[in-house]
Amino acid sequence: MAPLLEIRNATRHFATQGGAPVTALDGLSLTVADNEFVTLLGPSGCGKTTLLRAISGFEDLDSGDILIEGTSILDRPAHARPVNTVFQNYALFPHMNVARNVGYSLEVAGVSGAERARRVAEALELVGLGGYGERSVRQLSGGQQQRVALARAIVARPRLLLLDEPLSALDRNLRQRMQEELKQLQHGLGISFVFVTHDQEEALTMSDRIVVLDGGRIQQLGPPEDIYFRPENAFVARFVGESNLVTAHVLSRSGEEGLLEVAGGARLVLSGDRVVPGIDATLLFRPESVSVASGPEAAASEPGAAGLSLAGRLTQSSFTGSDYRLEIDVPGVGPLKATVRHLAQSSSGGLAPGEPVALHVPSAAIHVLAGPPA
Amino acid sequence: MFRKRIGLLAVYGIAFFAFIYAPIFLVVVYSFNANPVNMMIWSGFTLDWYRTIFGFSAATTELSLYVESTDQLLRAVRNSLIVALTTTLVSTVLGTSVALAVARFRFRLKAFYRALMFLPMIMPDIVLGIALLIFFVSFGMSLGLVSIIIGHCTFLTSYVFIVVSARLAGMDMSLEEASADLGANGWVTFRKVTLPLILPGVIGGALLAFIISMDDLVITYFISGVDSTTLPVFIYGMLRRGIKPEINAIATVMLLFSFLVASLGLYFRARGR
Ligand SMILES: Nc1ncnc2c1ncn2[C@@H]1O[C@H](COP(=O)(O)OP(=O)(O)OP(=O)(O)O)[C@@H](O)[C@H]1O
Ligand SMILES: [Mg+2]
Repeated sequence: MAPLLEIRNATRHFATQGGAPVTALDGLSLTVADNEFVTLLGPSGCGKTTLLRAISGFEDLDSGDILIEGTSILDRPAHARPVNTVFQNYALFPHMNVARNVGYSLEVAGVSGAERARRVAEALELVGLGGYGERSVRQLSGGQQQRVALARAIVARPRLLLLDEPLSALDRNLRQRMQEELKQLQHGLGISFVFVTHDQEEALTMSDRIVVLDGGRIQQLGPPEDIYFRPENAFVARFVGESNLVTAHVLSRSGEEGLLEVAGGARLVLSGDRVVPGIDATLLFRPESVSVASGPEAAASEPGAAGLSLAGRLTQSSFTGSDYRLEIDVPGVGPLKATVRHLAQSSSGGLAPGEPVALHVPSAAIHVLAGPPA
Repeated sequence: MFRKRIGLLAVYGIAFFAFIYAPIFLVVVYSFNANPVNMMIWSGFTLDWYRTIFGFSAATTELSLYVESTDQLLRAVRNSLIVALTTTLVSTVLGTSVALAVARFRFRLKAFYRALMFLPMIMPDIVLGIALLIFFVSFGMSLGLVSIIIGHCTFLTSYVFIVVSARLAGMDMSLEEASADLGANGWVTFRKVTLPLILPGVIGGALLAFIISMDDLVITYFISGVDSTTLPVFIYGMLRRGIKPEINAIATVMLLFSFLVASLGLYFRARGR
């Protein structure tokens, strides 16, 4: 069966004043299945909005195709496409009350008054705004407007809902609540969501699959765990979560395992297809998988433990409430980040900048990237 | 020191408004003055001048004998209304469409086109009047209501364009996209979203066009024919034979009419907020 949405080789350039054309979409292909929550994640200008607008019919493609259930929709105008959008600025009609805003698509489709009223009430109930129908949209708070926009987009039960940074205008608390509600709503309604954000945390919590975009191209596509723990390349590693990237030369390989040496001389054993003798591999590990020991005795710590052991000097330490964030300068490697629960007590009573420390990263927490750290 | 300045400011303000409104106030007062010979001298209250212009006989008419024929006056009023209403309709439709097109579409020479739409506003009336006269004559068109209407439309379309454009500039374009996204085609979107939102601008532009058309003397003077005299042209003709009391009554009625139209405009603007 054809997937709900399929994008094939979508390419779009924009002419700029006097300069070289900007590539907003660069041969992008993607499929979205039924009842799936797919997030487009990427930095500003990477083409997220352009892709969404191409699907909804407000932007043309230079080449490529967009299909819904196997049928191309490129020749259909925006109003004839079976998708609805929640706009970033909500785009509520200021001259209509909440109920008329929500019922707009039904009104346009000629759904009778009574039926319309029933479905509008139902949609408002669903977004937690039951009884708000008669209010003017101008009197609503940002969060309420956001819910009205959502209700308006789902009232006609589209198969596919496009959301362009719908939560970016909300404050932190409200945003977190709406994230949960959106996810529940998506699941409950069985509508597929294509959700745009440049907030990686939002993407990680909500999505079934994440599409990391940069320069109009897909950098990685996969479930949140893959994106976070097994990024394909340095861009994804840097963009999603905090990361330490270290270059290591692969010395030899025997069976599944290879021996690597990082700048500064430390060696470690790693397994995996990407460990090929003779190449420089890029190792990724997250700050929270680094353990830190302090004191001069630690400087030459157990070299036998499986993983990467390094010695360095603490340059910065800050307390975030639940954790300490440390920055450690390792000679030959550069500054590395570590997040630890407790600071190991040294003779002086705490870790102070300038003190020598020993780091250890277990092998299991080290991920080898494809390609160099761009 | 500060209080003194405020005092000066108040005096200045009063003087300023007196300067603007005193002449108008005098016209209204004189329109009720019974003295038929010298309206500067008050000789009692009368409504005779109003009776005269509306065609009722009055005691003082013998003395004034000014409006030779009320028919002429009424015909001028009728001509003015026909011209103003037709012009308003045509220039509102044209001006609004052009404003929508300029706001929506990207095309070459757009800035130039916009400038062209502004030009008739700063063009001296007398130049426009002469140009239109030469145009009509060289095309062999007889001067009459039609030529006046065409002439008025040429510059009033610009006024409507500018008022509606201002309103469109403040309108969020994503609303039209939202409407299309929810399944409305172009025409339905225009009817249900665009038009209601720009309506205050459209009505404002229409009222402006109506008032200017009713009021225009210079351009109309050039392009009106013998029996297509409008009210301003008719009054101008009367004045050349001396200022007589009926003129005050006509002016007062016109003033009242303008106030009504303007309040209507303000009402719609307030509702559009
Ligand atoms: N109408 C346009 N004309 C010219 N260039 C455009 C146009 N729309 C988008 N672009 C360019 O295309 C690129 C992608 O833009 P897009 O709006 O898709 O980015 P985005 O990922 O949505 O960014 P953001 O997170 O800032 O919203 C950008 O470089 C942008 O400048
Ligand atoms: Mg965007």
